[in-house]
Amino acid sequence: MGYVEFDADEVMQEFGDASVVSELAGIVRTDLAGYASHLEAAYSAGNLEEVRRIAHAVKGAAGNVAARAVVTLASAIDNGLRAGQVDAAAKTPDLIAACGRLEREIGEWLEALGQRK
Amino acid sequence: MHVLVCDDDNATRFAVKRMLTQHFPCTISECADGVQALQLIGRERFSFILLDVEMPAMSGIEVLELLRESPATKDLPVIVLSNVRDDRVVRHLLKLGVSDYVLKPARAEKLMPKLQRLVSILPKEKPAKEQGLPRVSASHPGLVVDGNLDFRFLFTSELQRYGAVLECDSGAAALAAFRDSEARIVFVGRELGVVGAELLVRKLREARGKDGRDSLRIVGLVDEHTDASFKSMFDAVVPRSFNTQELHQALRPFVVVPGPMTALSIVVPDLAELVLGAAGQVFGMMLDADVATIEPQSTVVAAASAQVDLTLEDRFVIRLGVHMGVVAATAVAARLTGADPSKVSDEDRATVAGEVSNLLMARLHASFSERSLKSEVSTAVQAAGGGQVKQPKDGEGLLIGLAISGAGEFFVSLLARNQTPAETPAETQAPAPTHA
Repeated sequence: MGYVEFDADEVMQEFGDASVVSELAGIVRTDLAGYASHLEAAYSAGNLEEVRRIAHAVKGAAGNVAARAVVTLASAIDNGLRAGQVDAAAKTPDLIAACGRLEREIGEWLEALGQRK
Repeated sequence: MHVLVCDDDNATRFAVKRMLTQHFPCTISECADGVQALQLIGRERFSFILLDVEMPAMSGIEVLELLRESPATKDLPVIVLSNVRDDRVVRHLLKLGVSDYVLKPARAEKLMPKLQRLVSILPKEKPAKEQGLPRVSASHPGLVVDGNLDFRFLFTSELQRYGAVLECDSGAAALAAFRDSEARIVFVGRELGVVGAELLVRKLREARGKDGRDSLRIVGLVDEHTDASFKSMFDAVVPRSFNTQELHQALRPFVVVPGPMTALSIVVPDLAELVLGAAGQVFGMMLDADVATIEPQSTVVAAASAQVDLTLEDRFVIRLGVHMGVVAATAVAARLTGADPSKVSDEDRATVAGEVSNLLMARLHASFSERSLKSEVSTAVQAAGGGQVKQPKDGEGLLIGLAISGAGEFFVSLLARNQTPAETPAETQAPAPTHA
């Protein structure tokens, strides 16, 4: 099964062991869920520094599973706000949605990995 | 090996821990912010740290700044693992002194070579039973006794890289030398004459009891013909080998390997002599004068200083500093410009210091090339106005005092540090110096 939001092959190749990959992906999935809800709260409150900080965290977490689209979006917000471009925060809803999609895909992948074991 | 992994990203910590434990015998502590990192560093002794930059509570940069301010942690190796690509941040981190900078995500392809490189230059762990035992160091000489001149020369040359060595060609001479010295570690070989190994070991142990050298360590130099009863006389044994590589490895538990300068001295044991030779050539050329070594004070005052970096074997950065006294700088400037010495300005003196440092480094570079050592002058001279120069700490550098015949004194400082791969010439090149 192909995944859109992340590169499952790259992650498998990097870590090799399915149980390790499952654990890593599980951590990313859990963290993304937390980041998405914090991001939503910070964006609603207009707390751009917090938005930037969480976007930076999302960038780090998503990078672990080669989720390039999420990393690109999170980077744009992180770098833009860091450079004082407040417009960059407008991409936050897109990032929240992308985090949701990635989280779901990782969930499906974990399920598939579990069935394979 | 005990490693601290400090990163607020849980998955990165997981991935890095797995990489470390898969490839290195190590224990790991982990934390998610800078404050926790400092607490752990205060409690535990780490071989190195993997440090994220952007973290809650306290950033990696703040942690690193605090570490570098403390004598206890100023040399603690740190690999920065971050997804911050800001050039200013990277430069600041390099300035603070990091072993490496690795961009996230943590992938084995990128991180493993850096880890392997760092681990290869870390001081080797000492087995618990060897803790506190005497070792040869700059302040603790070793005594070597062997009747074979060739072996003694080879062994002494190897041991001298770590500290002072007293060498004796017989058991009787060794007993006398032991009595008159502070040696607490004795290497006993063969062909010892009338006072053979067994008698020598017994007498050394008796002498130890008399003069309170309780921590005496007697090491046997043994080969494949040595029988077990002979070996059992000693506290430890090392191979009586003519293979320098084998000796180098075998001697590690008996020596103190303090800092990058000592490691550098293994590659270039005669660095100070090379500098002296280079200075002789430079001043012979410039002033038709000779130079001789003098003993520098703990702090020397210079009227003009300049420095230049050289990367050696992609492992070390040697920072060569030239610190000229006012008499020497004025004399050389006057000679080079043809000006009256009274008309020589501070700027002229700084230019001279820059010129001398460039010429010295060029000579060193040529000497390294002759020895097939890869070297690259990676940073140009930064001329400064002089000031006080302190003796580097043991293992970190050298301060060599030189007197130019009839033209005052100057000092050459050599500071060694381990190179970080990010220090490519393109990134660190400073503006070219002004030459006289």
